Amino acid sequence: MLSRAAALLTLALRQLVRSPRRTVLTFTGLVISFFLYTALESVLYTLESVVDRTASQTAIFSRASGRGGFFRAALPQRYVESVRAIPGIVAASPVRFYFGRGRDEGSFAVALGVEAESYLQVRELAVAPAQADAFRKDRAGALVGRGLLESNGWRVGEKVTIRGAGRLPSLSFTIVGAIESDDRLGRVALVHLDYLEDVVGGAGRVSFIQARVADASIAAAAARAVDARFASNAVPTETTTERAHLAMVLSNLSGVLAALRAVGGLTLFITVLVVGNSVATSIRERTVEIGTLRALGYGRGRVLGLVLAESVFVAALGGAVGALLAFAALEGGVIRLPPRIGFTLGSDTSVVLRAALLALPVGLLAALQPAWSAVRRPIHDALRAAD
Amino acid sequence: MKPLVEIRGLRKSYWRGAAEIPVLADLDLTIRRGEFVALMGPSGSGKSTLLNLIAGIDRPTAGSLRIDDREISELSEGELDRWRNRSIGFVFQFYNLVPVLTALENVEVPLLLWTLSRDERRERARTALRVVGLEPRLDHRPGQLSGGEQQRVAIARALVTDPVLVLADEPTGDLDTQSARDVLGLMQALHRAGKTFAMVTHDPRAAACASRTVRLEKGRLVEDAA
Repeated sequence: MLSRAAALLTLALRQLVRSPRRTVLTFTGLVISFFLYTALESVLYTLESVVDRTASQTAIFSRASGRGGFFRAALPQRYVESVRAIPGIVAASPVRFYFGRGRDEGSFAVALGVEAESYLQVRELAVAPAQADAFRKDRAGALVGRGLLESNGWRVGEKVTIRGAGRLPSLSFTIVGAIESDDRLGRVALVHLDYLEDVVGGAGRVSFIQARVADASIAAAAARAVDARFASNAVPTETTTERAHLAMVLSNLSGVLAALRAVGGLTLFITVLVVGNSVATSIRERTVEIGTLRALGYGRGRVLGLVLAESVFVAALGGAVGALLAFAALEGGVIRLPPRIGFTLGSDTSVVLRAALLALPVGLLAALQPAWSAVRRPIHDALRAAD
Repeated sequence: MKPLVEIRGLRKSYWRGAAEIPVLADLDLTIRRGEFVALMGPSGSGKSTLLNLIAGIDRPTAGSLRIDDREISELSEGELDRWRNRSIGFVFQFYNLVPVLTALENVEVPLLLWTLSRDERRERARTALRVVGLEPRLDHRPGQLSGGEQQRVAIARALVTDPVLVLADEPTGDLDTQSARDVLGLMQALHRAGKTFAMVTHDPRAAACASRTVRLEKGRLVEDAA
């Protein structure tokens, strides 16, 4: 039984050498399609998983409600004391954004002005303890993310300058430590808030307050309590968990995600057409052969199976190679997002596996119509195609 | 000798819209076991259609078609597929070999539907190729063989299942004189060994090799000469 199945599979797959050029071109088309599809799916995966990967379960953000963008310094800094007093909140730090350019013209650098001690309680940073201490002590010192260090060629101990965006003055600081993180904090410089205010002015207003709650289960309740505390103030707050905040930011990208999905789907649809055309040509050339197999006693189902096996095999191989190449390119850093995006593009074996498995129905769909047409043709009619 | 093929009142028509185009009309024919029958006639006489009906690759419009004691017009498509695989050997004008398979693999093709081990299948295919004198070339692909050799591979493929009837449609139509003579000689030898052949041909020299000639004209049997 096994020997017969193997022999039938050989009969199906041997057809692939009938026209090596066509097989190679079809295979190449499949590899490219599945490379693109996997790359697009990986972008979607990265965006969708960024919340899970980078959002703390216990962090909440408070910003000024209805005062324009998230990045504006519109929240009274003094709110932080009241936030710290809310039950369940164990630490809180004001945070102020500063945007500028790094070493190269056109590069992008972000600094966050924070209260060193409380921010280090809010955030668990991957920083050497001695460097964290140095940051606490040096008012003009900064902890700089590994990504920002590398993109600017900066080193710990160096005094560097971020040139302010627009009319913002430049911000100089000494790098006292590195944040070893591949998420958003790997792309920013943490500076002292009072030092930042001295440079850029506008003391007393911050972009947001970041707080940590004792337990993830009370994060949402704590966020509501913060907003309730300031509801009757001149500047009410809008507080969300970090998870909800990131999800909201990503929801603004929903149009982009939908477009990426559509492009991915279109790529596969075109692949079905291309492979289908190749299979149809191949089947047309084998009309007599298919008629002969039928005359020799091969049922419609068996001949259909032979043709489909051939198509599915090429599709599966092309799909797997394309998906693996995309995975290697993404993991190897050949395909990257601009550093300013703040997170690294990656993939996952589940994405690769899904793409590779999708190659099976692609191969099946592509061959089904031409194969079915061929086996439906009357045997005597197919045999006459040789005349 | 016992009849192998018994055809009674066989009719076959094709339809072009509402118009019936009769191809075979009330045909009666008996082929006995061990006969070598040549079916002759001008183009459009219905000889190929008759061969297709006997082969079970086309269905009659009316009439009875018994082969080896089975009414094949009553078989379902699946039963007909299995019956053809076990009972009929085919030899085509253009050999109809699979170009990407070797001679041995081509001969194995009908046996892939059987429950045989790989070794048993190979042995049977090798034996069939030995019978047609092509054992030394069993690893060659059709493109590496002459027309005569390809037709001999096709005959080996037709014999490998030991069918009750071998049907040949213009088996020498694409061959040079010498190759045609070789192929006909082989068919005669197999006939002498007991095989039953029905062969459609235009070639009187090919027909001369048969033990009986049946002539069709306009879908009717007009001559039956031993």
